[in-house]
Amino acid sequence: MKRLLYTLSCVILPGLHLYAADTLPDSNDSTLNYTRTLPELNVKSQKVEKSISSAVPIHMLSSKDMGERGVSNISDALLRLPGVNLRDYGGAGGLKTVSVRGLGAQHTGVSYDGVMLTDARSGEIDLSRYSLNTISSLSLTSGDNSDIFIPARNAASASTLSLSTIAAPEAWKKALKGKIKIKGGDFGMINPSGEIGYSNGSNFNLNALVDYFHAKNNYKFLLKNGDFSSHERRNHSRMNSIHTELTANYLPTPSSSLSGKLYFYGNSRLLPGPVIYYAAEGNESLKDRNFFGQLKYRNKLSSIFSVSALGKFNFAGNHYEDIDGKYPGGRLDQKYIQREVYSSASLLCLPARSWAMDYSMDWWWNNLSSNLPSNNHPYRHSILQSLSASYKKGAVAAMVRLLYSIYLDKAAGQGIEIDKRHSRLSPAVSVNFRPFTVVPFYLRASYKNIFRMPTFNELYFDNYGTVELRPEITDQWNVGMTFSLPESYGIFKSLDLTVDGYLNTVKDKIVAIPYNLFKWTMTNLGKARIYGLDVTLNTEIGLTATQSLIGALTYSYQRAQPRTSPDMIDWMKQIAYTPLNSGSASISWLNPWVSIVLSGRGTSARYTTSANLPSTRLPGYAEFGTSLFHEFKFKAQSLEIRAEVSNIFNKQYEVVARYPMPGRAWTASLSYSF
Amino acid sequence: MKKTILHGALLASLSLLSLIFTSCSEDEPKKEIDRVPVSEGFFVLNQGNFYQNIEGSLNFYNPFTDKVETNLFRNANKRSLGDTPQCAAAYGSKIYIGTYSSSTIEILDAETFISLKQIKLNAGETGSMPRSMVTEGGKVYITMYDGYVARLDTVTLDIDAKVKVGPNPEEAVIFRNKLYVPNSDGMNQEGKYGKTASIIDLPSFTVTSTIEVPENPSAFVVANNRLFLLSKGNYRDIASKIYEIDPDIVSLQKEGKEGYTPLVNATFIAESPQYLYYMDVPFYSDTRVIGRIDLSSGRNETWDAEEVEYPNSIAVDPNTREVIIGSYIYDGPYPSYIAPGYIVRYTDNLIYNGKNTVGSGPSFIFFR
Repeated sequence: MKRLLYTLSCVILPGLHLYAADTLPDSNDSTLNYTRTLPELNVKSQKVEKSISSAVPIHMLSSKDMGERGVSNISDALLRLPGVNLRDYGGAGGLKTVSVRGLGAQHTGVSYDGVMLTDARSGEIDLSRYSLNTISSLSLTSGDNSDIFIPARNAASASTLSLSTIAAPEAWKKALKGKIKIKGGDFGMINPSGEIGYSNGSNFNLNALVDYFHAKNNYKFLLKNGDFSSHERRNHSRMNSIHTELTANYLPTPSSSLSGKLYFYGNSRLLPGPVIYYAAEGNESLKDRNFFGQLKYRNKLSSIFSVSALGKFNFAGNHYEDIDGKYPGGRLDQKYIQREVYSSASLLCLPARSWAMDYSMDWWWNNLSSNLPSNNHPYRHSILQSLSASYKKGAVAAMVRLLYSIYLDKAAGQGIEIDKRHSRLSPAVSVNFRPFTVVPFYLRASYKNIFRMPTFNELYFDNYGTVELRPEITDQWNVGMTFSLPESYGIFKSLDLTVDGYLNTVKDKIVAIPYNLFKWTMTNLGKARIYGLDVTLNTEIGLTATQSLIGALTYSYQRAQPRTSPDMIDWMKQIAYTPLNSGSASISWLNPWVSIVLSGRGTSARYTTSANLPSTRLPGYAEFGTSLFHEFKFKAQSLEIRAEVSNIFNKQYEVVARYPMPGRAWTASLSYSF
Repeated sequence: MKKTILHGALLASLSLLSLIFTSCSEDEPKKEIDRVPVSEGFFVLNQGNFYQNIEGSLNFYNPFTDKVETNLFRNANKRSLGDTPQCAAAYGSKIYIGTYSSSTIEILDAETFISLKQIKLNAGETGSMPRSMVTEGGKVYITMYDGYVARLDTVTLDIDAKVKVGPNPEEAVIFRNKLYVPNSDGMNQEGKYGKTASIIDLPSFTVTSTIEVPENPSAFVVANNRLFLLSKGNYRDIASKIYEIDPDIVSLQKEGKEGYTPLVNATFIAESPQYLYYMDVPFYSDTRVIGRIDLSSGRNETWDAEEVEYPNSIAVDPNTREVIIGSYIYDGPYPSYIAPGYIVRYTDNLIYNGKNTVGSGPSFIFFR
């Protein structure tokens, strides 16, 4: 099997190595033609192969992994990945953004079934909206994307978090499959979800899913105030969301595929705001509406050429309200609407056995309108082109990509007229080397230069934006090694180890400069240097024929230094909210009766200020959880019962200062699949 | 600060400590200012920065030790003063402190700093988000940013009445037995700020008239029995300025006249009996002027005040006439809103007289 994979990756480059993209489980279209010829490939072996043999760090979690490791929600999943710094504003309804290797959340691109998401206003994707119920895998790539047959835009972020949804049954197997799940737990949480997939057995399949989530999130917390402490409760944290999707795949010919998706997400939540001494919780609320439709097409024209194309329309509305006597009329009412039209085309060429080349071109258009008097209707055309080449022969694999980006901004209103153009060439290169044929042991090195555009908020927001802003530029260097047991060794059924060291630098960092405590503006002031180490270890130990232990460990060291100027008080300190040490561990005992998982994660102390003022130190913490589950199987049907306790030691901690996290909580779920 | 000076002067009594100071200074031959009344020190309210988890604090500058006593509230009460304290008054035997974000009034014993009462302001009943305090006749008048002026009785220590004024009232003052309240409308999203001030009759505690004033009125000040107003403009084309308000502005405006005259560009204002002090440090500009206007001659004089990096508050010691400026430190090219700030003192002759570190964001200076 391993050997087959190895020869496969040498021979049919596009098979897995180049294509699998961030969308492995989205196999219906991206890897369709190849998986059809190689039906024995299973998800597990693909995953190991990918994270071990990739020239850039990729860390993946499949839904199976998440189940086995007791991952309870999206933030838990993200914290099981190395190098991740999650900003979690608490509870199921709290905003969650992820920054990777000290680069700031706006450098983390998020792709959903292989298509990049945007929030042109804030530049950050709130991950709290993604439910694990509908996710079949998530993966995090640091540096350049390891695939070449991808939209240019998928290579335009410093790191990419790829979310893949549950795939429909394979088109060539006639089937009706489905799953119904109900999950409930503390703090008034109820989360029913369901999906159904149909395949006609020849060339068409259809998948529908719906996920409803409601939680009061009214958890207790301990408020410490000098020598006093009091038990308080978050009472203004309710979340009510619904997510629904319809996906269809159609194979017009054996070598081509067409897939379409309709997506809707609606969320209405109360925002608890920071805990302010003595004050009651605020009256902020946020409503989100997001709709998109997309079509993807892929065709293997010949053994040399393949093409792919996609088109998407996205609508996102946010309505923020704050009821407070200080506002005119007693309320602040901000409505934002963003639209995006996106298209991409890629041409893959396999001129010789060891070579693959790709040219991709993306164009998309974003706009933002709002009910603010300062609304100046910004819009942006983005034109990205990438030229990539991949080479693999014998022990060596290498990839080079040149990305040329053009961003055209226009805005008019409030006495300003903006017509700006940014363009830039961004190179990326990655190499890996497998010194021994018999052992999957790789040495890898990569470099990527990329930038992020200033967001519409940073550029055009009244009293805040600065139209002169330039992009924020990053350089990423990575060297690492990976190792995988080629076959079972004693009790070890598998063992995968990755160790990566990195150096990132940031230039023209966009920072907020206060005019006073309440009025801010943005400037390209900052520089930063981040170096660190990411280690992951995954192993499976066979106990008996039906019992095994699964262990997973991540460790990250992150030294993130502001280096703007020696005259500044944050010079060479540690960037706010970045722990030096963080990690996660889980151990699972899988057995035919009740499987048990113990998991933990933690970070060392952080500061809320980059100046690392002693009074702004947030202590480190460790949180532990446990899961119990059992699956009943009757032929093709299964019923899984699962119970989880998170934060079993009821540790009181904050990820973001003044946003206390929930204490001990239980959840239970029942899911039935057919 | 501005309102409490007159009362501070009245209340000034020679304490045992000040006698010691006098005798100390007699021992030092180089001190020649012993004819000048001695300072009783002053309080500094630091607003902190709750966005970055820095709570507010109360400091006291002790002139006899030349040291700042920090964290008075926390040390006396073993708990936080709260978030964003921005106004205070020492009155009688007590100190009243208003916290903007926490929306409380802390009533402290002026000697021990032990909190006698904490009033949690309630938007519906008392108004909330205190911005300024004025004391008079056994009452503390507090402007509330949600559009009210509340009246606190210093005997019962309760808020016994409130009156609605315009949006986002700022620093009020008592002039000829009326309370002048600037309605800044500073939260207006239209970028158009308030242009009115409310005049409250104190005995009846009702708004008797509303006057038209220049855009974004932010602080009334009385000096030498004259009324001044700082209006901050729109942070764009209308500059922040000090205006002198005609005492008869109500009747003048009925006749269609403005009733005010511009004096000088400024973003901060403070008064002494003889001078009107100002600082002009506008946003969106490198301008920085610190000066004073002689109220008898009208002469405007500025000084470098080079010890001050980025000023955030100013007050004049009612006893010594010393000018005290609270400042942020510069962190590279911009002020730091997290690092501890400091205060700089200048003599009545505008000679540098010392500098001391205080808490983060020295936003308000007041006197016993």
